[in-house]
Parts: sequence; structure tokens; C-alpha cells
Amino acid sequence: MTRIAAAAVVALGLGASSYLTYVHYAGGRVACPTSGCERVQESFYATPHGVPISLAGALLFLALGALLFLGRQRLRLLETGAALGGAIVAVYLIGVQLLSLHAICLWCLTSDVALVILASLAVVRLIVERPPAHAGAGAATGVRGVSKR
Amino acid sequence: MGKAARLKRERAQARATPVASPRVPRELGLAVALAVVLAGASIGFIESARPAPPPAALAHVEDVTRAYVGVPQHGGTLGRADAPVTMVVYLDPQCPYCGEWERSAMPELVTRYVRPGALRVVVHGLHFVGPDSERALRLLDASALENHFFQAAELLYWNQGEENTGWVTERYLRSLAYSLSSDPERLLTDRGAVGVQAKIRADELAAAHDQVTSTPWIELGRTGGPLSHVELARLDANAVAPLIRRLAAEVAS
Repeated sequence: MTRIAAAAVVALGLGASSYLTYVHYAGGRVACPTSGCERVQESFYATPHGVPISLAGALLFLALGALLFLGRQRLRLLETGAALGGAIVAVYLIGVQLLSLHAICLWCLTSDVALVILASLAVVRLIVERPPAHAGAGAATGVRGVSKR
Repeated sequence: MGKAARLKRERAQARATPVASPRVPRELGLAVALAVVLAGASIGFIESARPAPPPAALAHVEDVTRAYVGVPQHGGTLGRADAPVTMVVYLDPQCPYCGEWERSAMPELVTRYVRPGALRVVVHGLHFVGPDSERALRLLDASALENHFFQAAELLYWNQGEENTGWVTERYLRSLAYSLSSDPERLLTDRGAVGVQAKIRADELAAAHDQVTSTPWIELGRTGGPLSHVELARLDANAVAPLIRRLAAEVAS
């Protein structure tokens, strides 16, 4: 269930960040109900050292989507770490919009909130959705395949 | 099915339910560590692109610039080399009395004695009040490399802050640099130049040699001859003007 929810959130975040990346390279104006998007996109936070932050976001969503699709247990740690890292940066960027720029870009906010939700889901999956480690004496002690005679 | 059998089945089901294994806290810890590293690198990358703050507008830029146009200046020395009288001044950028001296006395002394060629002024910068002093002094001494020391000093004192309150910020220094120099970025870079370090050290040695105990510390005398410390009764040009006139007259006769 959390995997399906995570996939939906990845799609949402990927859509928002891809749109911002497209507008950056196409050179148009961001469709936005407020003037916040333009203000945020014109700040140095949008393109540090010339790299669009939205492109980095899109690549992160793609990577998280790929890890989710593969669903390998051994990649779960990487998925959780990347999602949590993205969420920390997302919270920082939300703070920048509210406290430094005093403007909100809805596309950025969508992408940022998506990362926070993905991180929460990744942590839940890491903790709850474990492989069948049954609560027997063997599982509890980490000893497996010991048979009683 | 009996009650005992049902309980037994429920216990068996409870045992079969996936639970957090002891490895989870360790994996979660590793994931958090990975996240902190990734986020730190990303935020560091973003913050390193932060543009320098724009220079702020300073007071008296035009007056100060105009006051020194056409007056010979080399390093920390102002006025003609063959001026009959030399005045040595020791200053700390944070010292409020130095500020009063620079704002009240220097413009008049420059107009009445330095510009006509009667007085040569040599300034030594000190930094004993606090860390802000050294930060400001480095910019003044970098200005000396471009022969703008006196404009820099006067502009600094017109825009002086309270002692040791952290008023000598990078933004403040950038504002000074942009008000003074045609190449402000170079001026800012020159704060770490060998020549600046050498001037700071030379001024410290000069202060030790002259046994300077307070600032502003003024010494006056004939150019090339011994200089005498002047106790300032007031912090304006009249505190030294009669002595300058007398020394100039002695040299002329």
C-alpha cells in the first residue's frame, strides 16, 4: 500500500520539477496563480552555480522512482537515505521561500512537500515492511536454521 | 474448536506477523547518516552560490573624494615630500576620539596646510581596540597600496560604528571599497596582501618605538628632524595649527 502511495507521490513531484526544468530551458514564464513563482525562480536558490535546482529535483524523483520500482530489499537503505536527504533540503527550501524570499512558488512547494511525504513513507517501509523475520526464537536472536532434535 | 486451540492459533499467528527486527534501528541510523551527508552537501552547494551583499550607501563619499583631489599621496603619507613640517598621527579605526579628530581636524588641516604644501601627514594605523579594528585596518592599508589611504580613513570615520559591536562587517567593508576604488574587488582581495601585513607590522613597531600610549597620538616637527608628541587639548585643527604655523615660519626663516 505504501509502495503505491509512494509511486503516486513520485509522479506528482516528478511532474512539478520536470515542468519547472522545462520552463527554465524553454525560457518561458512559469504558470502561477501568484507572483511568488517568478520571484523564487529569479533568486539564486533556483539556479545555484547555473544548475537548475528543479533539474536536481527531477533527477532525485527519477532515482527514487527507480528504487521503488526495483523494490530490492538491499536498496531500501539507499532509498530511505536519499528520500530523507531530499526532505531535509526540501524543508530548507520551504524555509527559504517563507523566511528569506517571502514568496511561495506552488510548483516548488508541491515538489518539496512530495519529498517530505516520500521520506515519511520510506521510513515507514524501512521499519514495517520487512522480509519475513518472524518473531520466533531464531528471528529474535538472529539465529536461523537451528533445528531442535 | 476449543478455547485453548484458538488461543494457540492466535499465538502462532502473532509470532508469524512481521515485526521490526533488531537491524531496523541500525539501518535507520545509517539512512539518517546518509541523508545528513546528502543534504549537507546539497545545501552547502546552494549556499556557496549566494551572491555577495550589495554595497550600502555611505555618508560623505563625495565630500571626502573631493577633499583629496590633487593632493599628493603615497601609501600612508599625504602631502608634498618637501613640505617644511611633518605631522605623524597614530590612529585606531575604532577609536571614537580618532573619529572626531579625522572628521573635525583633518579636512581643515588638508585645506589650510597640506594642499598649499606647508604640511606633510604620515599616518600609522593601529588595531588595539578589538577585532573590528584589524578588519578595518586591513582595508585602510590595502587602500594605501592604491594611494587612497586618507580617503579610506576619513570615509571610515564618517561612517564609524560603536566600538566592538561588530560594525565592521563584510558588507560595510565592501561599501567602503566600492566607494573608494575603481577596482573594489582587487582592493578587497589586497587585504591579505604581503604589503598590508608588512605595513601593519611596521606601524606596530613604529608605535612601540614612539611609545604610543593612546590614540589619536600626534607628533609634530620639522621634516627630517626630530618630532615631538603633542598633547591634544581639543580635537580640531586649532589644537595643532599654531604649532604648524610656528614650525613653518622657523623653517622659512
